[in-house]
Amino acid sequence: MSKIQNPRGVPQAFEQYRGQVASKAEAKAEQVQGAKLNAESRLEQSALSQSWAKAKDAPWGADTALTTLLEQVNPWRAGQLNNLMQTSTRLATVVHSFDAFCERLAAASQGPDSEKVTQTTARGQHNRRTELLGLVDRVRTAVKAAGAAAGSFPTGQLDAIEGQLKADATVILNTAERGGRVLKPSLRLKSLDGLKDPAAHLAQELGSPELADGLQAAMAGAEDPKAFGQSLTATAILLDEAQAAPDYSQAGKGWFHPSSRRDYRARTHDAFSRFASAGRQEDSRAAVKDLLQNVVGAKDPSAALDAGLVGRFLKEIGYSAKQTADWKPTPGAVKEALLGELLLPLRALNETKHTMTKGDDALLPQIETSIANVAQHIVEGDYADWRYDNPVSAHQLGGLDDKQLATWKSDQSVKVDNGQTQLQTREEDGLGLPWVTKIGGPSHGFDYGGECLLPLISNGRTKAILIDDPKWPDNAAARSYIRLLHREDGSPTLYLEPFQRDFPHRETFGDAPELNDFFYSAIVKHAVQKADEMGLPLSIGRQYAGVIEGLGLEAEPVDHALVLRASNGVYEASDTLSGKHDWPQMADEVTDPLQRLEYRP
Amino acid sequence: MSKQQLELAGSLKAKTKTNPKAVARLLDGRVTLPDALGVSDAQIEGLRRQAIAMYEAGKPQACVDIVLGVTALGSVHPLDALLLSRCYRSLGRTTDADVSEAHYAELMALAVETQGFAGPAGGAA
Repeated sequence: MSKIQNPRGVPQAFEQYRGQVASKAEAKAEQVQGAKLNAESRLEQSALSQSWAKAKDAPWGADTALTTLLEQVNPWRAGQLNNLMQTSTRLATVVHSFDAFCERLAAASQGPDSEKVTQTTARGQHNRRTELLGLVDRVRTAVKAAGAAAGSFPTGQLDAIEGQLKADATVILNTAERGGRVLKPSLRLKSLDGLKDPAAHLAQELGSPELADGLQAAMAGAEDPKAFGQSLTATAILLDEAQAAPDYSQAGKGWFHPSSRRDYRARTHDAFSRFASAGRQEDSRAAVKDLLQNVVGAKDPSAALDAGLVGRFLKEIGYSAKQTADWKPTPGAVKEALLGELLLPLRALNETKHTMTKGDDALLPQIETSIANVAQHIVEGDYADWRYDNPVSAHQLGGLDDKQLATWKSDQSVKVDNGQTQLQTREEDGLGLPWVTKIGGPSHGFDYGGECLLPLISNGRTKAILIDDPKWPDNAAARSYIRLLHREDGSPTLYLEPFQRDFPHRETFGDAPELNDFFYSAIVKHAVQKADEMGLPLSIGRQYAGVIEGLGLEAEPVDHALVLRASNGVYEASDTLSGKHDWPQMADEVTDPLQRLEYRP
Repeated sequence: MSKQQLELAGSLKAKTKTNPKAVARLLDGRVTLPDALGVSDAQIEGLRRQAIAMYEAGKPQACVDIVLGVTALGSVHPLDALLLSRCYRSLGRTTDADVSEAHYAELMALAVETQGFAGPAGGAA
C-alpha cells in the first residue's frame, strides 16, 4: 500500500498505528484472494458454473456475484468469505482514513488551518524544540567557556530563545499527551433521577467546589426543586458526553471509531480521535461551567438552566443559534436526547455531512436538510411521529389501511427459548435508531458512513427489530431491518433484511451457526407475527430457509422485483435490495428481480 | 586595548538586546539559530580563535565547550574535529578522541576534494 507523505509530519504513535493496520490489511487482502480463488473453483465445479461464468462480469461486481452464488452452494463458506472481505475492506478503509487525514494536514498547512496542523503535529514540534534547546545549551556553555572573549555575544537574545523554547515545549508536550489520555467511562444514567446530588456532582466534575453551594441554593429556591435537579442531572450527562466526545469536525468519520455501543460507553476512542478532540472537549467543559455560574447568578435559575441546557446541546451537536433560529426545541426533548446518548450521533452526522456526497456536491444541500430535519424533530420532541408522518414517508407507507398503518407503527414483541436462553424482541422507531447500527455490521454507523444511517432515521418505511438477551443487559444483542415495500402492482409487502449481532456479544458467546440461527429465528418469528397481524406477505432471504423450516413455517421461492419509493434521507442502504450498498434514492425505483422466499399469512 | 579586544568586548546594548520576532521565526522554522541570535560570522570566528587559544593554554575542557558551541551555531571547520580529538585525548576520553579523529580525516578528505583546505584565520593547531 503506497503511503501519502505528510510534509509536516504526524505524531509517531499514529505512524506506528498506520503501519500496523497496513500490515494487517495486506495480510487480510492476500487471504481474501486465496478464499476467492477457492470459491471460484467450487462454483466452476458446481451446477452454478454457467451462472458464475455470466455473473462474474456483471456491472454490480464480481465479488457480490461470487458470494451470492456461493451462498447457494455452501452458505457457511459464503459467510466466511463475506466476513473476510468485510474485514479486509474495513482494514483498508482505516489506512485510507489515515492517509486522508494526512492529506488534510498537508492541505491545511497551506491555509488558515495551520493552527490546527500545529496542534496535530505537536509531537514533531516538540521534538524540534527539544533539539533547539540542546543547541542553545551548547552555545551557552561555549560563551561561558570563552569568557571575556565572547563579551559582545548576544546573550540577551539567547535567554529569550531559551525561555520561549522551554515554555513552548511544555505546552506542546501537554498537548501531545492528550492523545494518550484515558477517558472516564460514560455516566450511563438511565433516568434523570439517577444522581443523588447533581449539584455536588457537577461541582466536583468541574473542579469548582463553590458551585455546589450556589446550585444547591438555586435548587432549594426553585419553584419545582425536583425538576431543577433533573435539569442539573441532564447537564451532568451533557458535560460527561461533551468532555469525552470525539470532535468529528477534526477527527472526521472513519473505521477507526468504535464499532459497538459498549466501546463508546467505555470511551475507547483511538489516540487519533482523542488527540484531535481534546481542545473542543476543554472548550465544552468551560462552557458548561460558565452556564452553571450564570444559573447561580440568574434571577430565575430554573429558566436560565433549561435555556442554557438547550442552547449548549445545540452547540455541542454543531448547530449555531442562527441555524436553529426557526426551531422550537424543548428542554424536555433535549433531556430525552441526552438520556438516549444522542450527542455523539447527532454531532457526527452534522459534522461529517460534507463527506456524504460521494463526489456529487449537488447532494450536499439535501443531505444537510435531511440531517437537520432529524436533529430538529429530536429536540422538538416529535421525532418518532415526524418520521412516519412526513410527506415522503407517508408516500412510502401508501396502500396500508388505518389498521395496518397502526400495526406497522406499533411495537411488538416475541419470545424464543432454546432451553438455555430466552430471547425477547422489540421494535425501535425512535431515539434508539441512531445507535442501532452500532450493533454488528458497522458500515451504517453514524461516524463510519452517516449517509447509510440517514435512510433508517428518516424513513417511515424502515424499522429495526432488536433482540434483547438477558445475559447481555447493556444493549440489544442483535438487530435486523424490516421494511414496508411495494410490489410492482402497488400492493404493500414486508421485507426482512439479514441480521447483525453485536460484535462484543459475538466475541463473548461465539459465532456458531446454530446460535446465529437461534437469533435469526427470533427475528423471523417477530416478522411473521407482524405480517400475520398486518395481513401482508413477508419477503425473507433464501439463505434462511432452514430457519423458516425450523419454525414450522412455509415460504415459497419467488423471483420478482420490488418498488422502492423515494427516500426521505437522500440515500437508501441495503445489501440485499441492490449490489450498491448505499446510493442516492430520491425518486421511486424498481429493484432487479430478487430471488427470495415469501411467507404468506 | 587592541582592535580585536574592542571588537570582542562589544557594547552592552548588543549583548542584552532581544528580538521577539526573530524568536518567533526560529520557532516556526523560518530562520536558523545564528540568524535568530543575530550573531555575525566574525563573532563565530572569534569564538573559534578563542577555542584554539584555550587549547594552546592547556584548557582542553574549555576548548571542547567552545567548539561544540560553535558547531551548534552551524559553523563547521575540519579543524574543529582535530581540536576535539586532541582535547579528548588529553582529557582521557579515548573513544571520543578516536571518533573525532575519524571525523577529521573524513572532513579533510572532503575539504581537499571539493575546495582545497585553508587553515582557520588567525591561528593553527
